[in-house]
Amino acid sequence: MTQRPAQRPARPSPRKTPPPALKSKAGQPANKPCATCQKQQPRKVPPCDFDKLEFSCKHCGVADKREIKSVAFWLDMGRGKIMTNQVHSPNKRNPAVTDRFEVIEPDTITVKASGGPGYSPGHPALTVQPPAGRGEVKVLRGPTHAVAVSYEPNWFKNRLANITRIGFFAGLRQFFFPPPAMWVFTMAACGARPAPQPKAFYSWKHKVAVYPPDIFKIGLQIPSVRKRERADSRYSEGKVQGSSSSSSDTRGLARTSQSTKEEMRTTGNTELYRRTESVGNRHGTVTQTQQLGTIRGRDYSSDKYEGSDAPDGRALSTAKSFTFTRNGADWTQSFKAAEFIEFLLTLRKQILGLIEFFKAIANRMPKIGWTFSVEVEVFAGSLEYEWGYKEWPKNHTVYRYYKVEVALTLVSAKAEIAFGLELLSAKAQVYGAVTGELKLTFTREANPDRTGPAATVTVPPAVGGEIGVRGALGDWVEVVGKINAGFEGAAVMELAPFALKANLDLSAGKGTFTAKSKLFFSVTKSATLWEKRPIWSRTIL
Amino acid sequence: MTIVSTVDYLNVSIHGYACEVFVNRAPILRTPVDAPYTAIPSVSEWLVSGDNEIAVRVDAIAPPGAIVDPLSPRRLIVQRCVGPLGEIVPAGEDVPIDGLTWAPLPDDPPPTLPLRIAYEFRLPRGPTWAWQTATPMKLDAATTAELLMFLDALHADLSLGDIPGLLSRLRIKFAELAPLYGMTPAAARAGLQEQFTELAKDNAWTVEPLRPDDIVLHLCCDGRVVEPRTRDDQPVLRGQAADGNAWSLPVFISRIDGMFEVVR
Ligand SMILES: [Zn+2]
Ligand SMILES: [Zn+2]
Ligand SMILES: [Zn+2]
Repeated sequence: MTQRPAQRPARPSPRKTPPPALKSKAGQPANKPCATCQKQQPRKVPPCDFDKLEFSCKHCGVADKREIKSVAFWLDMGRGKIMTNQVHSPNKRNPAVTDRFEVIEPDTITVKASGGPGYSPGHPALTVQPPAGRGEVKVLRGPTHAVAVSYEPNWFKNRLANITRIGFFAGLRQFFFPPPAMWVFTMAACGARPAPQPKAFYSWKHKVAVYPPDIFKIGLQIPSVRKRERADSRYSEGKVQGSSSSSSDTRGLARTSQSTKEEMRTTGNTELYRRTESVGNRHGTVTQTQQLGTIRGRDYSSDKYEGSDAPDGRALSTAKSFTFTRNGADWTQSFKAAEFIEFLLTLRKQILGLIEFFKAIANRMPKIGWTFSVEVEVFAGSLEYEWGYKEWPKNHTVYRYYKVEVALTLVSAKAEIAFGLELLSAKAQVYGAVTGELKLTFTREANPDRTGPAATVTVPPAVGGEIGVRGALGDWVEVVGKINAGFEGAAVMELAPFALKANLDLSAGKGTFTAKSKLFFSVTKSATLWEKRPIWSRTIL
Repeated sequence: MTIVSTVDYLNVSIHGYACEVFVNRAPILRTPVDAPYTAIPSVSEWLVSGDNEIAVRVDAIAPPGAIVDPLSPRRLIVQRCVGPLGEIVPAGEDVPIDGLTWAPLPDDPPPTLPLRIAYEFRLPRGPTWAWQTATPMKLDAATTAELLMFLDALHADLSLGDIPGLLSRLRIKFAELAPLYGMTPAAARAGLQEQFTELAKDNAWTVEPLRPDDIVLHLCCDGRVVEPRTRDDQPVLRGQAADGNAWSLPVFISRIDGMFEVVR
């Protein structure tokens, strides 16, 4: 057992005046001399103090619960200090908790004062101050008390009711390790001791942090859906004759109900294609309207996504993409899953927007035809994250329990490109494909003995592909080394509390090129084929 | 002006092999072992009437497992194609006439390096190039010394910016190549002078010193042609130009009527 002076953390100093002692039979306060005595003799206070204070919850000393019997504070008369037996985490990243005792609701805190020279009537007294808005301060007389403590009543249902107002993501985040309810316990006596004893215990204020007992679990089960966008243009030399076309297809089984409407209009040199696709599950539908249009060779493509709540649960099928449980009970229907699906579609759209980015580069060299294909998959795989507070068996603290099993592809993108540009003062074609995949695959469980609260997993994207460049026939272009191109970014998952952040960028396409001339000087130059393009960066949850 | 509409070229796509590619024993290009390489060098000036040969010498092979990306696979492909001069043939639209592909099976025993892979093809009658009838050389001390003196003369022309002096030593190259690449020799000479003026503006033109100990003479085409390169396979005639670009002038030298000439 460690014995060291209790560190009194910076906080409002305990109330120096204990609750008044009870009146004696003589009708006078026991700790106050009568008016006569005050005149006749020096102030004399009856001894009233304790040597030791112990805090425990109902799990202390119970097998498989808390190994500690209690947290004790005692007066060491020799050192003139208050000592404690608090045990601290061996993990240096966990700050030592010295000012409070932490428990999970429901629990009962026992406070026991012992030793000392005796007490005035009604002393010592324990003042219990519940969290704000949770009732009156109570004064309990005597050396030993058991006090039931609780978390915010109906906290879960109250927060559940917020979801409609604050939305899916903020709604979910409410349940990630909410702050504790703080109770303040103050045990106090007069602090009066017989003459030779120089030091008194007097009073001690200690907080009790109460955490909710709920164990939550979220699950994502999202089958693979790959979406592919294509666009190409062919131009003949001389009098520019252009044409462009686009198509898209979606593969996979994530959709549980679906309707597709296609519309094609051609009038002279105007071509308009509109495709409306509705995707839904039992929690809602998302309608995607995609318009691909070319008017006199110009591109008027657009993509629009709209979310809506399902009219009722029966209309749409039963596949679950998101689940939320509390203590094993399913509360998924309290969340608007449409918002989540819409988020996925927006993410997908941002990546498919790479086509527009390349098209803009390619359109500067309209005499070289271009072709692009972007294929993207977002959020495929599964994620299970379970979390809640638990009392740590080895001391008086509560830790953030979590267990995560994840095999989730956040994003997998492939861009196949071929377009013309000017390189070393000559026209050239850039072609090839780049891929990037952000994937999280691991299993981890909180270990309060070892892992700190900031458990973080960071994964860089897996990248691949190859970009080449070729000039016009005759003189030729050689790449010195290789063209650096592809995707960059990271997926970051924090585990307590849960947070999932990711960013993915298209790296700048850069290389060193030699224009090998048949008759003239060859020239070597570093060139940027395209600038870096951020695609998306956000905290997902 | 000669109207030329097509050019012979190689479609080269190599990954995982350090190679040198030859046309009729003339070195065309080298590939790194650790990066994919794709290029479409034109080679009309190395093709001859009758029997021709395209060869690849494999000097190093990337270890198994070093190349796993399906979008950048291990391969060794050299195809002979013909296409319109001055036009971009989009990647994937080359029409090969013939070519070689080397794809050993994973279980095949590793070959002894260097490995030579070659194939032959016949072409109808065409011009006879000066290098074909040049005097075969042996790189003995005397010839090496003479070649270094010739390189030194080229180097001096470049250092002084004496383009007419340089062009006088590139006479055969310009006479034979200009028509192949859609120009008259006179227009090509004017073009070189104009390019030099551009590269040398603001006194930005510098020439790397010639370092005989860094020059490797590569004898090719059965001894009729020599290509000087630095130890790391750069052209020996090179330097810095305006705009921070590097310039270089690869040369292939033959002995014609007793005199050294730049033939390519
Ligand atoms: Zn009295
Ligand atoms: Zn407890
Ligand atoms: Zn007292």
